[in-house]
Amino acid sequence: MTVARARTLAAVAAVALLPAVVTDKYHLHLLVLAGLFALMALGLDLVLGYLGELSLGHAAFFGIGAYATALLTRHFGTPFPLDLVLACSITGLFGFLIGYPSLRLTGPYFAIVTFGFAEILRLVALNWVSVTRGPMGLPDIPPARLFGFVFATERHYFYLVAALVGLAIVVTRSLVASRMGHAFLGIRENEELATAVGIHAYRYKLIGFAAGMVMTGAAGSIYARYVHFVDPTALGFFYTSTVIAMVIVGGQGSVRGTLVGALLFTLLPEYLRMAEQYRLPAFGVLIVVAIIFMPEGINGLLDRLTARRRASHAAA
Amino acid sequence: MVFAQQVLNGATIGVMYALAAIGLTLTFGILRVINFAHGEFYMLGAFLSYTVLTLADVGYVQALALAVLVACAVGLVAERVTVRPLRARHHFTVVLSTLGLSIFLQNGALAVWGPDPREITLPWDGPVLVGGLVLSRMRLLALVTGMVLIVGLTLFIRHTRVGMAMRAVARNPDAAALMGVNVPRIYAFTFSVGAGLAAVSGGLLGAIFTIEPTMGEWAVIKAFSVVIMGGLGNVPGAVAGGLLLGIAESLSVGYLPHGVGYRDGIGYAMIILVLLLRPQGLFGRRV
Repeated sequence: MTVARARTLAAVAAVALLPAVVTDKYHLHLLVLAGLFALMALGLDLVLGYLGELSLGHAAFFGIGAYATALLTRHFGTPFPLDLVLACSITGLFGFLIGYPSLRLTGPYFAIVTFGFAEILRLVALNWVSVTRGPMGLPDIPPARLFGFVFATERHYFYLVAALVGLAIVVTRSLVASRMGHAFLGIRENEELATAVGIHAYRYKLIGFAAGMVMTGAAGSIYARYVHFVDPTALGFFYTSTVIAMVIVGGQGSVRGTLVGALLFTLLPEYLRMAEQYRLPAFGVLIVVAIIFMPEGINGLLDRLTARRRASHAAA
Repeated sequence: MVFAQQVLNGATIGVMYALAAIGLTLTFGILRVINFAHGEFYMLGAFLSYTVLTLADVGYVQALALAVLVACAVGLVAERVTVRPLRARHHFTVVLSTLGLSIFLQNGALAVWGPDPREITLPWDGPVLVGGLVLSRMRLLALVTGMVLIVGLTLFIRHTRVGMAMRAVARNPDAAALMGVNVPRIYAFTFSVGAGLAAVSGGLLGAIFTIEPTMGEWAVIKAFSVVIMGGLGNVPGAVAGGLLLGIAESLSVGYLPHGVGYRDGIGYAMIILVLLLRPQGLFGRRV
């Protein structure tokens, strides 16, 4: 067995056994949230870390997934996991529709357009009261059910979310390792050069973007099933900036970094609750500090530390 | 008659949008930085005016002036801490840094002032008739102040040495440096002026509408809409764009069903349309 495979097995075992160690509902709830954020963050990292584009509309896709599940279950009684698949598809479709015009632009223009689209969607959710019930939101979303088993407790959702995160990791890793993934990296590093070499940048960006949004939609769908309620705040910029912070501080373009970021930014605010009003401004400071001193995020820091240890071992 | 009234209202708000947008467009044109924290300076203008008015026994104009000075100072510090260290890096690193700054300022304001909306009430406010149309005194003050500032700024940029230095840096920072321009100082100055303009806009609009700590988020998108419509770095474009947005919003509220709920969406829709059809803006040069 290779080192990598052993590590993966260890990680899976650790996750599977975690609820045996962490038994109180509160912490399990945090882990579920961290998992959902991790899904969102992995979706964003695909766009930000691997494609090199800053999307400021991320929360909208989370919201689309959540509203899709909410509406499907309330109006059609759609069973799990069909609603999950449909929500992912719908979100992916929106990703394609929004990406189609937006990805012609780059950099700050792309960022602003995606923000605009997201805010329009939020306004629609807020004002199209006949469908979304506006600010009152959609309540009574039934929990997920599979072959008679009802996902009722935090522990159940922890395993469900962990499985989805695992799936997302596998998908991301295979995507990045594939030819398409290499094209992504080429586009990120130097789009003009990549295009000159024959890489159809726009097409790959669109695929990558839609793929990332599918993951994000999944997070939204499970979120709806977990909290049983969806309202327009799910499409708010707060979620977008939180996920961006997770990816940047954790380490963009890296699965491990993104996961670390997701965990950190879900758990940290809870533990900083005593600082209450100052934790959010502290977030902002953290982002600036991280960008200036840790451009590769925590992941980059870890890499540098392990490289140094390896080097000193080799020298000894 | 109603139409003309709507246009006047829209134009007044539009001038405020233009003020905020000019600051943003200058920052982009000269520093090549998209300042996502721009809205927070707008918010600071409003809140600092409010605070000075409630704490000290001064008039509104003095309070506003003080607020703007403080905002300029904050802008100077912000440029030094969040923008300058990242000059050499990839452009969106700076953008993310300003995003972090924005989160800090917005939530800092929430921590200091709390989330409840406030109002700046002015005892001398009241309606005024301008050629058959009605304006509140405050709106009239805002309109006049805005126009004076815009004209003043345009003259400043066109006829002073500092203004010429700014234009030179916008054109070509290296050549400007070779000509003896202190480029980092121009960067700091521009950023600070941008913050100040946003603060004026915030302080004026804040006295017309209610204020709350997240108003910056709303304002920065308006400013961006205008800047994109006018073309990044284009000051007259920002003025035209501001008026256009203000009037379009006002008319949509007046004439479209559900106009009020979707009013802010007009700005977003315009951004999207312009970026997709004419990304250099209505008045800009080829992107």
